[in-house]
Amino acid sequence: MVTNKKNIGAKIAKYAVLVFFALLILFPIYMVISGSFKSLFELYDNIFGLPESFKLDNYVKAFVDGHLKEYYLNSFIVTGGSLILLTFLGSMGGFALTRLGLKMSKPIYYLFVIGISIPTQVGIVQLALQMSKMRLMNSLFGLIMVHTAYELPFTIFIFYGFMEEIQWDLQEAAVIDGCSQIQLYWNIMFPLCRSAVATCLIFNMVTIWNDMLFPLILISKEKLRTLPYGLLMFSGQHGSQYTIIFAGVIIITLPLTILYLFLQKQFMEGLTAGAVKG
Amino acid sequence: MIGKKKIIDSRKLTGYLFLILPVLIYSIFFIAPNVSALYNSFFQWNGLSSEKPFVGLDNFKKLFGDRVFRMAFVNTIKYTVTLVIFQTLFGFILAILVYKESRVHNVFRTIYFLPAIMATTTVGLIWGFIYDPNFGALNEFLRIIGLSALRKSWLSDEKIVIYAITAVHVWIGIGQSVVLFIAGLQNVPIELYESASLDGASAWKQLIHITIPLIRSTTVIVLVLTTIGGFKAFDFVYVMTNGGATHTSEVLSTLLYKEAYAYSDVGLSSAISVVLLLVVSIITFIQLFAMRKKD
Repeated sequence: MVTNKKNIGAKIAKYAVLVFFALLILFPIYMVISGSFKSLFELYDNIFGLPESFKLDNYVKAFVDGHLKEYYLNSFIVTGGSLILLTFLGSMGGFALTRLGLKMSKPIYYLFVIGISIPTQVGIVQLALQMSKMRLMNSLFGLIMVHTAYELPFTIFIFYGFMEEIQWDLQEAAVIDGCSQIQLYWNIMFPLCRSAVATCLIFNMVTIWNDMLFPLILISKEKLRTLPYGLLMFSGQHGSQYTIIFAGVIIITLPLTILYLFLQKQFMEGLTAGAVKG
Repeated sequence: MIGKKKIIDSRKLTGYLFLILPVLIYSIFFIAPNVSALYNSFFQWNGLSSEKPFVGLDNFKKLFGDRVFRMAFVNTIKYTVTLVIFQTLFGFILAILVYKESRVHNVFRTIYFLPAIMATTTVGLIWGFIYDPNFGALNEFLRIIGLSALRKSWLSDEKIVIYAITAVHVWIGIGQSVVLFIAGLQNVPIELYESASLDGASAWKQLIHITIPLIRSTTVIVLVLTTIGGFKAFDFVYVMTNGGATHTSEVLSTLLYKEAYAYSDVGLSSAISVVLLLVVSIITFIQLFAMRKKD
């Protein structure tokens, strides 16, 4: 009887804590969603309430006046291009470093892995100077190269760890069957690395889609901005237009949120694996 | 004999062919700028002029004598310590409550981790609104619950601005600690708790004597990750205050950026890069040491 009461008390305390933190996370998000449908007057008049109607005015304004339509395409090109490059270069690198008995493989691997612990900010100023010398400022191609280079250490690290574990018998059998090295990579090793591919895709996608730092230093042309940077610049010019900014926040966040709700486990694993990275 | 040699050659050839592009891209766009940050820290240079005199350690001397740099350093420490304490503590408490597999627990985990997929820019803009002194949600909330006395200019009050920004980092980062701690807690053998319960050990005693010692390596990882995260702080500060007002929320990374872009002192900016790199390397080294000792 006594323990029963105690248990109920403990349970109430537990859920009180859980719900408190859940509200702390969800309430700002609710405010942004509801605010994105309000007029500015309505927002200041009634911050916490539901919108009077679900008008899409703010979304239209964000897309057209805030140019998020153009920035969407830019973000899509940069993220997509980098992801394709990273998946191929990372898996090819991991394959070459683990499966082909190269003498230089350890030093090359360490060269990549050191990059994991170097904070991005350390080199940004010199990167910008170098990119302008290379005439790669204001270039989506340049941005793709930079993202690829900065995410390669983590990507190689994951593929290396994964490929290292694959059974040698498999490789020997394939070689005896007359498999070339390229076939070995493409037909046997790459398909076996599905979970490494997923981890890298998720981590790199979230990082690159959300990045603001590289466009900040490498892009000054308005029409080449990516989404987060574009929204930041919009808020710089129209600081008090919070309802439009909120619509912009939803526009940027929605694609990843949908993926996250379907693939929670993979996101949690991929993003915490990547957190170890600098 | 000839056949064998040919096989080895084709392996090597494929290997180095596969490595050319990754190594090239990595060297040009990652290694080169980082190395030149080290190099430039020994020169006086504005980033443009062809004159670039070697000045030895002068940039570092100048840095440590500089009032703004000291402010940025102290702010970075405040930011880091606050972040580490709250992100670790909250992460641990929540993980303890939801680490067992169940549908309800999974819903809470999903919620706690949600901010981790959001762009730092968008999160900074949202909290900029929450902290707005006139129309912001936080002051409005305080008014509604009758605590108007606590209303503040969260981002321009020099005593609280850095903590107000750190709170945003805790908000986005809590899910990461929860997930890491859950993984650690699920590795503790359940039999230990069962036999401790039979011996009459209270839940509190089990926590102190079983859980905390057995998840030590997880705790080290969380502490190190949040510490490094704190020292690298840039995005939220840049978006919400850009170091203001008058440097009261300046941190190392925002100053590094300003020295180069606003004050055209690439030498000094590079010296800050080196300080940042040194601090993070030391922490990483401590982590490796702590993990090795355990093994």
